[in-house]
Formats: sequence, structure tokens, C-alpha cells
Amino acid sequence: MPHLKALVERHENDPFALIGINTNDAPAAFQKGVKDLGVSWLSAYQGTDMSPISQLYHVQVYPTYVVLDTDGTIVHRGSDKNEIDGVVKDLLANAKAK
Amino acid sequence: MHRKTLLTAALLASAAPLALASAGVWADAAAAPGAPTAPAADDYEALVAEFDAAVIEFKAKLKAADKATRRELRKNNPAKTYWPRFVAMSSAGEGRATLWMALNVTQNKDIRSKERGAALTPLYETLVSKHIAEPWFIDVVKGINAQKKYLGNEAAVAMFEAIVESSKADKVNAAALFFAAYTIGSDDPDKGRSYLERISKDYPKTTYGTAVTAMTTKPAQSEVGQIAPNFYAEAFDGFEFSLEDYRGKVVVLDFYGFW
Repeated sequence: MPHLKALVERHENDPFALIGINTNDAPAAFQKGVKDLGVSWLSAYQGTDMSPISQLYHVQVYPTYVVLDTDGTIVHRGSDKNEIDGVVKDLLANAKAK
Repeated sequence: MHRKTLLTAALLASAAPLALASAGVWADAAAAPGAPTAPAADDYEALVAEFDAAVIEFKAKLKAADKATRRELRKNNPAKTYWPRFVAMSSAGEGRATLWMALNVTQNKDIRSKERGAALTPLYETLVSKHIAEPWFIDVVKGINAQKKYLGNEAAVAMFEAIVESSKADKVNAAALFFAAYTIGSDDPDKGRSYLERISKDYPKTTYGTAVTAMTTKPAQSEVGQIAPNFYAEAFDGFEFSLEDYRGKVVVLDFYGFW
């Protein structure tokens, strides 16, 4: 989470959004996690009885990061948080150049 | 079938305070007849806050107690001691108190597990017939689904159908159809499928619409190079959004859990 927090702060003024898709946390666990780890960005909450977005993306491993370009194309998919920094940076640079 | 269910619900609703008071388990509900109309909203919230605080205190006491004391303590857990106050509020027309009773029925040890279905049915029927337009009604739909093992599948499906018949809220209708499809399951696959199709047709822009879409989406559609499948989602606070709202931005979707 500190890694993601830094990512969000770094791109505060860029056309960038981090969207969390919470899967399988009970309400109390979710609220505690958000508070303890300082999650300030938007997060979908799917609850414990269904996870439609995870199913839609066929997510098998947690965490999974899916990076989208400005037109919605999937550019990267993986579980290593260190990989997403560079991908995001390049996409934003490309978007600016256009 | 529909008409019968609705009629029963309506009858039960008008008789609800009386029925609750006459059943042995609903102690103190006798305060209800002639009680003033719906109490102020913050009365309910204040009661829940008081109850929640009592639960925390109760858990601390349990933790500190020895085995024998614990057994004694459990006989009078907060759900039981607060029950009459929720009954009174429910009888006065506060639907959220009725829902609270339904959702906490397993905590009230005066109601044996065998009696839960009989206790829950009038509560949910009252909620469906009188409170369907409330903003919190989605929690009723979820409650019926979570407690269908006590209500019985057939009764739960009848309630879901009655809800779809009367509710004007897309999210409520989509949820009711979705849970109805799952409750019917293999008993009547055609009917189940028709419920799901109705969600796709009438309520696609809901979380449940996304759930139906997900059933037929192949892994290849969310691989690198594809256009990310759109979804409709809800934040914990109820804020509704869709992925399409973020077109024009670089987006990272982070699938995670705190567990």
C-alpha cells in the first residue's frame, strides 16, 4: 500500500487514476484496512458474497494490477507492484506528447 | 402466485404489530398498539449506536470471565436485552428496526433455530410491503438471500419476485433477480436464466449487470492488447461509478484484499 500511495501522490496532477477493486473483505475488515493503510483513492467494494469485477477480469492471483491506456486498452497485467511505476510513467509521457 | 404472495404480505403487514406482540418471543411489544407514528430517524441510529457499544463491552466482559461466568453472561447477550426496544421501534413503523431484528435473529437465543423461519417471514413480508422505496432496501434484498436457509428457497424466490414487481430502483430489482436466479439454481434452470437475461436487458448498468456480463466473458477479453471490459461498481459508501468514467486517463486497476 505505501507503494501505491506514493504512485498516487506522484501523479496527483496527471491524467491518472488508481482504482482499487476490493475482493472478499467483510465490512469491518475493509473499514479497518482502509483506515490503517491510508487508502485515499477510489475503491470498488464487492463484499464477501460476490466478486463480479474480479470474475470479469478472470483474476486468479492477488494482488493483480491491470494498467490501461487513456483509450482503455490493456497495456500491462501482473502482480509485481514495481513493474507498474514505469508502465504508468511511459503511458503518461505518451499521452502528453499526443 | 404473485398476487397471492403480495396479498399475504399486505395482510401480514397490517397485522404485524399485533402478531409480534402475541408471539411469546417478542416480549414487550405490547407497547406498540396506540404508539406514536414513525419515530425520528436519529432514534434508530442512536439505538444502534448504543447497541454496538454494548456489544463491545459485552465482548470485553466475556474475554475476561472464566468459563462458568461466560455461560451465564451469554444467556443475556446484548441482542437479547436490546431486542424489546427494537421490537417497539419496529412496531412503531421504523423499518430499519424490523430489518435489524431480521439480521440479528440468530443472536437472540430466545428464538430457537427451528423457529427462525417463522420469526423471519413476517419481518421480511412487512419490509417488502411497506418499506420497498427506502434507500436502504437493498439491504433487505441481501438479507433475504443471506437467510434463505431459514425462509426456505421457494418463499425467498416469491419474495424476490414480489420485490421486482413493486420496486422502481434498478439496483434493487437487479439484486432481487440475481439472487432469485441463484436461489432457483438447478431446480428450474430455464427460469433462472430468464431472470439473468432480464438483468442484462433492463438493468445492465448495475453491479449485478456486471456479474451477468462476467459469466460469459472469456479470459482472452481481459488480456494485454484488449479494450478493458467495462464494469459498474459501487464503493463502500455507496458511490456508483463505471470504468468508462475514467476514459482519457491512465488507469491502474488494483485487485486486492486486506485479508
